[in-house]
Amino acid sequence: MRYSSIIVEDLQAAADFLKKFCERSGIIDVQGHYLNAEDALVYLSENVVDLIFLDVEMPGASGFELMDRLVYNPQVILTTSKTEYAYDAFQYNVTDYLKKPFTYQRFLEAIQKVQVRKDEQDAETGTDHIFIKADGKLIRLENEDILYIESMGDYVKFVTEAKKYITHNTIKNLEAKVDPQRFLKVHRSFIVNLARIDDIQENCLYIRGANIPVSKAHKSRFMQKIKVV
Amino acid sequence: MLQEPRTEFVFSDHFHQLYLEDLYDGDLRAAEEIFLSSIRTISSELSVASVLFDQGNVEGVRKVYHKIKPLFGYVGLLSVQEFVQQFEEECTQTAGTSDLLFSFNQINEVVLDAVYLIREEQIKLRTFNNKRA
Repeated sequence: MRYSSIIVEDLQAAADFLKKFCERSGIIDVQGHYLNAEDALVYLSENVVDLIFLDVEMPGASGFELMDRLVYNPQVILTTSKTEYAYDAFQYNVTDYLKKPFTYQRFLEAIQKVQVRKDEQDAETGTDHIFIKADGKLIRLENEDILYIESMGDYVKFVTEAKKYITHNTIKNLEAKVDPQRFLKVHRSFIVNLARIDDIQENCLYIRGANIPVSKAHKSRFMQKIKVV
Repeated sequence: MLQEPRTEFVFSDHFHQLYLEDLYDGDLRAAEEIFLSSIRTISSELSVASVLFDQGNVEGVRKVYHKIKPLFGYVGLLSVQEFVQQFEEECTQTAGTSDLLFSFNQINEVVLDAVYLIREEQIKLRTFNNKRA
C-alpha cells in the first residue's frame, strides 16, 4: 500500500529533509509542499490525501487551525520543534508527533503507526464512502448510492440514482481504492456495485436500465461473487 | 571510551559527529544541501528578526527564532539550538523589546558565529563530496 501525502512546513530545509525520507521509504508519495496552512487548504479542498506532515507554527494559520478546517480526516503527523504541543496533539488525535530534527528510524516508526491506524480504520468503518473530485470540489459519495463507474478515457463517470459525476481518474486506479466487498470490475471500462445489479443475461448485466458488458476475463470472478441459488 | 566515527568524513569539533551520522545515515550530499539551505534561511531570517525587533514586535521575533531553531539541530550544533530555545522562552516572558535588548544582541552574536561555522563546514562537505563523486 502506498500513501499519498503533502508536507505543510514553512522551513524549506525541514521539508527537503522529510521529502528524502519519504522517497527512501518507498511507500510515501509526496504530492506537494506548502509553506503555509492557507495554501495547503486550497489544495486539500480539491484533493484527497492519506497523510499530512504538518508543522504547527507557521506564518498565518497554525497547523491546528488547518486541522479544524479540514472537511475530511486524513492522518496527520505533526512535525514541530516544540514539545509543548504534545497535549494538543493528543487532543487532535494525530497519528504521531515528530520533533525536528528526527532520524530516519524515528520517521519509520511514525509510518508504521500510520499503517496500523489505516488497518484499524478499514476494519472499523468498512470504508462506507469515498470522496471524488468533481465540479471543483470534493464530493462525498456513499458506497450504497453508487450504481456503477464507467471509464471515459482519462476520466471516469460515477453513476448514482440521482446524478452522474465525471472526474479525472482511471478504472485501474479506482479498482484498488473502492471497497472490494461491494464493488467489482466486470469489464476494462466498468466497475459495478454488486448490491445494485438488477438482472444478468449472458455477458451483460443491468443496473437501473443500463446495459453493462461483462468481459470473458472478468466473468469467472464475477460469477463467484454473486449469489446464485 | 570514545566512539569511532562511522563515516570517513569527520565533522569539525563544534559539530556533533555521532548525532549527524544518525541523522544523515551516510548521505553526505544531503547533509551538504541541508547545511547550505540552513545558511540561506538563517541569514535571511536574521534580517527579518532585526526589523521586527526595531518595530517592538517581540512575538514576531520569537516566531523567527522558533522557525530557525531546528536548523541548528539539522547541522548538529545542538548547544546553539538549546540557546535559541532559551531565547524563545525569554521572549514569551518579556513585555517589550527594551527588556530583551541584551539577550537579543547576545543571541544574534551566537547565531552569526554559528552561520560562519556552518558555512565553513558546508565548504568542507562540498569538497569531500566532489572528491568522492
